[in-house]
Amino acid sequence: MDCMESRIALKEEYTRFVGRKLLFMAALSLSIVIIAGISATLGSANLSVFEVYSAILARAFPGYFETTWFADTIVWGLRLHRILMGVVAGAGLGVAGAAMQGILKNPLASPFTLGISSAASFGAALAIILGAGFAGGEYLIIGNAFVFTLLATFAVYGLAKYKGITPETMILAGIAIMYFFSAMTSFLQYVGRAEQVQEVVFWMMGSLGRSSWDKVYASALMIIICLPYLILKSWDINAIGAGDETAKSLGVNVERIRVLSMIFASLITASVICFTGTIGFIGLVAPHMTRMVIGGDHRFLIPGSALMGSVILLAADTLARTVLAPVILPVGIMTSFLGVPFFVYLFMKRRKEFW
Amino acid sequence: MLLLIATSCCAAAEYPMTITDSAGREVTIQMPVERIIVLNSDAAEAVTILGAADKIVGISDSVKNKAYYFPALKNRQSVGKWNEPDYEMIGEIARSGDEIVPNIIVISYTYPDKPYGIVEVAKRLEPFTGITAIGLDFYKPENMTREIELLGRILGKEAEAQRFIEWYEEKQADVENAVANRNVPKVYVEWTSKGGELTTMGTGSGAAQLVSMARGYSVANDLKDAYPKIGWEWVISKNPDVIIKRSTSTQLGWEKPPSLDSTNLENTLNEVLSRSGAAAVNAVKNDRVYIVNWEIMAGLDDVVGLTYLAKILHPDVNLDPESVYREYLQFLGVDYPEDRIFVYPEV
Repeated sequence: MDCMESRIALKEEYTRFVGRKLLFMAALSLSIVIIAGISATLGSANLSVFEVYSAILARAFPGYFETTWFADTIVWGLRLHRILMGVVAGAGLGVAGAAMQGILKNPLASPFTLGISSAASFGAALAIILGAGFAGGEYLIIGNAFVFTLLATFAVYGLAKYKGITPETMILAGIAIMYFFSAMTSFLQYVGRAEQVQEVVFWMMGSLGRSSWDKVYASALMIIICLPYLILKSWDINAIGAGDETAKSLGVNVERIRVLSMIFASLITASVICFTGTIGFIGLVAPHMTRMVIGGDHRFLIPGSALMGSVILLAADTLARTVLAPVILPVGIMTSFLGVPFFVYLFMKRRKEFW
Repeated sequence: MLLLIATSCCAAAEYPMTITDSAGREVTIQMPVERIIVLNSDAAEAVTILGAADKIVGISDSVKNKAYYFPALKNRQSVGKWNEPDYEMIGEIARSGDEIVPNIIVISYTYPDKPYGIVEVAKRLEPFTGITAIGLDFYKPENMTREIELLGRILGKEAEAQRFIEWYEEKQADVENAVANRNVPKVYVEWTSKGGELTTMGTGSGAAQLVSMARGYSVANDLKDAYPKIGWEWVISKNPDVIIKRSTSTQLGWEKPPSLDSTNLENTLNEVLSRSGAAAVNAVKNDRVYIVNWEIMAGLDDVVGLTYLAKILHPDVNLDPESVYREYLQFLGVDYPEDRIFVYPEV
């Protein structure tokens, strides 16, 4: 009888816990919709809110809403794909960061600290300065960034494999790879001409200005392919968080999960930053913010970080587009301006341990 | 015969007009150009010289930053950075009501394959049917007259274009005649010297072309790159007869008071003279180290720079660079800035 009661109480508490997490995610989703809605109405073209929404709705319900050719061009041709790219890229970077931090049990793991972003930068710099790479024409920079990202992942994996795959070996290998590619990028910048160097620096700041519908589809598709694995394995990632030995005793194939998760997280990162340039910060901090609010259960943390990443990147890009208009700031700068105060706030307010 | 008359008299006025821009793109201009958006300052200069500045409705930051050359464009609508313009703003400027009257063109640098080159700009503007994007450079001496002629056709300003080209070629010829048969001094051109790292201008750079036109031999001619990095030791080993150092716009310029100019220039000059081993170099021994304001060394005004260069390399030639500059500025409708220093020490 007693036992039964406590079980019911526990179950109620668990439901409440889950409820709070779902509520948080619902709030984040709502924020994305609201920010996207506001963002769609902001821009240099003098379109009223009514004109913007008529243009959006006219495509969804042709016949019921009327729009003009100009409003349609601005909204669908220039604004919406950029907004969606912000949502998709933010989500991708958030997920990648959450997964990497989880499987490596390290709060400092992110696409940046594991050398993945610096490899992408090197690939882009190679394309910009030497014009050499794995693809031609306009895909040169994109293709290079993508291929080098994967190369870095396998290099980290190879180095770690040699020493035995543990969180420490992977992080150390990642740092070595990061310095290696940073040095190579510096070298290219040194030999490059001023305007090329400027272009590399610009690429490394990250921007959503290069977005287009095709790129949104490509990034989204890659995330849709890779995300299910990470979510399906989030129980296992939780178990890894309790220690490799514990996870193994629970029947988790730790090494396999770690390697596959790493590869999927890198693929997501690559498919985002090859189109946007290296946007830092989000991959590192979105998971932390999410963890501070809803805790470290990866079943919720991974989708939560995705939503959080979208919110930060979308809000940052909206500001970057409007604050100095018509000058458009690189979003990589804005993410930090916007995200750091929020991060510090959560950091100061919450006292309990997250790791 | 009739056909000949017809083509010769009316070729300019026929629309749609198809031209080939400097990126080799075939572009069709639907009707006479009434509105122009310029993304680079060299193009703004060319449009102004052709007497069409009143048609400019949008400018980039690099045009805005050269307000001393374009007083008339000061209050034109900005479209953001030259290498990342706000395309939405361009669309907004181009629109009238709910359509874009195709009397508008956007001029950008060609820079093939670059995200800020004409191909990308044109692709970004594609949704706005009616806006024509044209790639024109004006910073390479070898394309200069062709591009001015083309712009003259596009804007219906053939006579003005012809007038400028004649002046430009006449001034070039003046220099050529003045320096003919002179001995050829060895010249070292210093592009930057940031943190002790020197950059010179090799073959393929505009300055190298100007130096050889002024009958000088650039010691960097064997270096392949346009902006090769070199060491001071290399400069000493080449023992140049003349050293020319580029001054950046933060050191001197149109908007700085002349007293500030000379202080900055003196400091820059002393930095070069005090480098170790400098005393052994011919240029230093014979007081032939010069600081040049780079404003006049690239773009349509490079003929002014060329005249100054000829005077630096061959001090006794009968050339008057200042009067060339005065004449050039008349094309822009700008007064010559008295007391400004363009070459230091004076030649």
